[in-house]
Amino acid sequence: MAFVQIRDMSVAFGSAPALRGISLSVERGEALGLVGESGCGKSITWLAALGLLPRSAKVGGSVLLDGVELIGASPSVLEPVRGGRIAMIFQDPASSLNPVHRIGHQIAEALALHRGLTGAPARAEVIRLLDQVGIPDAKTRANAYPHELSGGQNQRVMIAMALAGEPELLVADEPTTALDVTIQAQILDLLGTIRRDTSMGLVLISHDLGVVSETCSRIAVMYAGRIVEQAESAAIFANPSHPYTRGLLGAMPPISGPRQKLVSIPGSVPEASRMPQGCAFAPRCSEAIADCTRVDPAAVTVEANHLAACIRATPAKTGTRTPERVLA
Amino acid sequence: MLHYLGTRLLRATVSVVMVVTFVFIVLRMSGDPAVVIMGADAPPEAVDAFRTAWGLDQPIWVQYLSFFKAIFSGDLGQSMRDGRDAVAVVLERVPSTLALTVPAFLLNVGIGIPAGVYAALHRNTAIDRFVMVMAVTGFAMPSFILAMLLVLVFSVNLGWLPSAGQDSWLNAILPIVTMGFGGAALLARFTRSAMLEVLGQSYIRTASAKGLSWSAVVWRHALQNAAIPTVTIIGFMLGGLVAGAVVVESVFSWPGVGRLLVVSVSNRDLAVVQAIVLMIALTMVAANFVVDILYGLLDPKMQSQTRPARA
Ligand SMILES: Nc1ncnc2c1ncn2[C@@H]1O[C@H](COP(=O)(O)OP(=O)(O)OP(=O)(O)O)[C@@H](O)[C@H]1O
Ligand code: SF4
Ligand SMILES: [Mg+2]
Repeated sequence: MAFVQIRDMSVAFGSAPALRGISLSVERGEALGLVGESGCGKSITWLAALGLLPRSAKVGGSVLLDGVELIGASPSVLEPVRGGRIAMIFQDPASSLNPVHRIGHQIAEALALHRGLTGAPARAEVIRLLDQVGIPDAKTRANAYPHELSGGQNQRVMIAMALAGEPELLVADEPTTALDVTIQAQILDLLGTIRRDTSMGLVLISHDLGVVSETCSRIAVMYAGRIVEQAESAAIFANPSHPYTRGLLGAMPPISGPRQKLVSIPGSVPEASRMPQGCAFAPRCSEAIADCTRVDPAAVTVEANHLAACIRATPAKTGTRTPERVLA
Repeated sequence: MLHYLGTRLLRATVSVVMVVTFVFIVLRMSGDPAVVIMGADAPPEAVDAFRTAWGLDQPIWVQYLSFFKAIFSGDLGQSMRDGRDAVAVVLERVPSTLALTVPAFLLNVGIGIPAGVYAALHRNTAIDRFVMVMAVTGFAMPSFILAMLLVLVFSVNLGWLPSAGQDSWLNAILPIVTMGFGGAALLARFTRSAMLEVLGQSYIRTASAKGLSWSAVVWRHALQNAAIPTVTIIGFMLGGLVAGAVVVESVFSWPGVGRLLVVSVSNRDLAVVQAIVLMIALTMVAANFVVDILYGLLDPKMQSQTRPARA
């Protein structure tokens, strides 16, 4: 069984559905990329899994961690999981750290919670972790406040804090979006290095297919609260089977070669409160047919380990149309 | 931190000079003290003699300079009413005023902050709504109206508490409650919104994502951050407390500094008014200085001079 198994998870804020049945699994040690435009539900997928959404959010479905249900679980179940088994880092490192506490203290908190370290051993471990994530002069820097560090350094601190609990999975929610390009590459490198050195799994959330494909072996593409395609990274590039994925690929700047005009997907993501009938992508889809506005497409196996939720996706010869919830 | 303290101290000094100057000008422009003291029917020679005796015939800037000189030598002149030392006249009223304002301040903080924090943590529950209704009421109702209502209920109708004077500690209850309620209401509102603002911040989510229990998140990560704006409000509130004392002491005939101020202003008793205003200004400036220091202690951004480093 997968390490994390999300089944038919839904999230609604009031009457507006933000996640509309997500099924996704992450294997132990795997690096999975989660891609999609802003607002498609990437962050809330993982916030909901860890019980971190505000009480106003109605969460349905199931998230199994090693077979243990997390949705609706009590604090005594969730607290050891958060940071201890699944750690999460966020988009804006400057505001993700508490401005009134020294960074060393904030890391030590995680050490006390998940590894029972306090005092001098905790202090030594804080310095080792800061060293590991590439903060120069870790001994002095442990006493710094977040505003005394740059954005890139703060994100390294966040990573050190995440590593403090020795989690089995790190969910990195757009860890580089707020940083300059050179720093972005350094942080992604760092995540890669850590993955090589530990057996930690990674979920990398991004709206950039390029970033994700460099780091992750498998990619899930989200649109309007659904997963519309998931496959091995290579298969996503070789055989993109959902028009939205093809749109994202078309919007990617070529890594080398002459500059060419990027084809961006026309239109915008539908509001949660005004989901169109049928396929949510239909209003923007250049390949839509009449049926698209009638049938909400289920995920189809287009080839081994490759699912796409489009009624025009061609199933593999052996594949059958199966509802998404059964497949994942 | 030293630089930080230095600038605050300089600011404090400038504030004192400005307040004293302002009062000096306003008092002298609003009427002739000699006429007020001697009465409108007094013979002109008597008024002139009075002016000479009190230095009121000197050019205004001479009066102003000698006033500052007097402040530095600790001599604020004599009360024009009875010739006693103005500072002594004021100081003997101070304990009475402190007997009201200190408990009122403790009520403000002791009720306002916990109520605001509780309301924020239980947002949109019945208790939150109750706290907010009380807070809006306390904030909107002028203190003299609340004072009248309290007198009506507890003195006139129930006959439990005296409505005026300073015969026993029972006399202090209604004035303290009057001042305590308004400030607590103000503080509850600000604490609640400061707390809600903090609870919505990313670092609170980080603290939860780390595995901390909700109470640890609130105690270790939310409260200190919410305290930063709240402390500023407490600084402003001290000003409100002084103004409140003037009103409440008048309503309840409580012989404190506030009532002395009202009486002295209407008598144009310049020396006493100036002594009071100077004392209030010094208290306020000192209070704000303390607030600034607290602020510096709570918010590391205030004291640090380290420039952000590059990654
Ligand atoms: N606390 C909330 N209350 C109401 N709606 C919310 C809340 N949090 C998220 N949403 C809504 O849920 C949807 C998905 O949000 P989410 O943050 O998961 O998007 P995302 O894919 O992570 O986008 P981004 O790339 O901008 O981070 C959005 O439409 C957002 O408006
Ligand atoms: S189902 Fe229709 S509208 Fe939706 S992506 Fe496929 S072709 Fe486009
Ligand atoms: Mg997000």
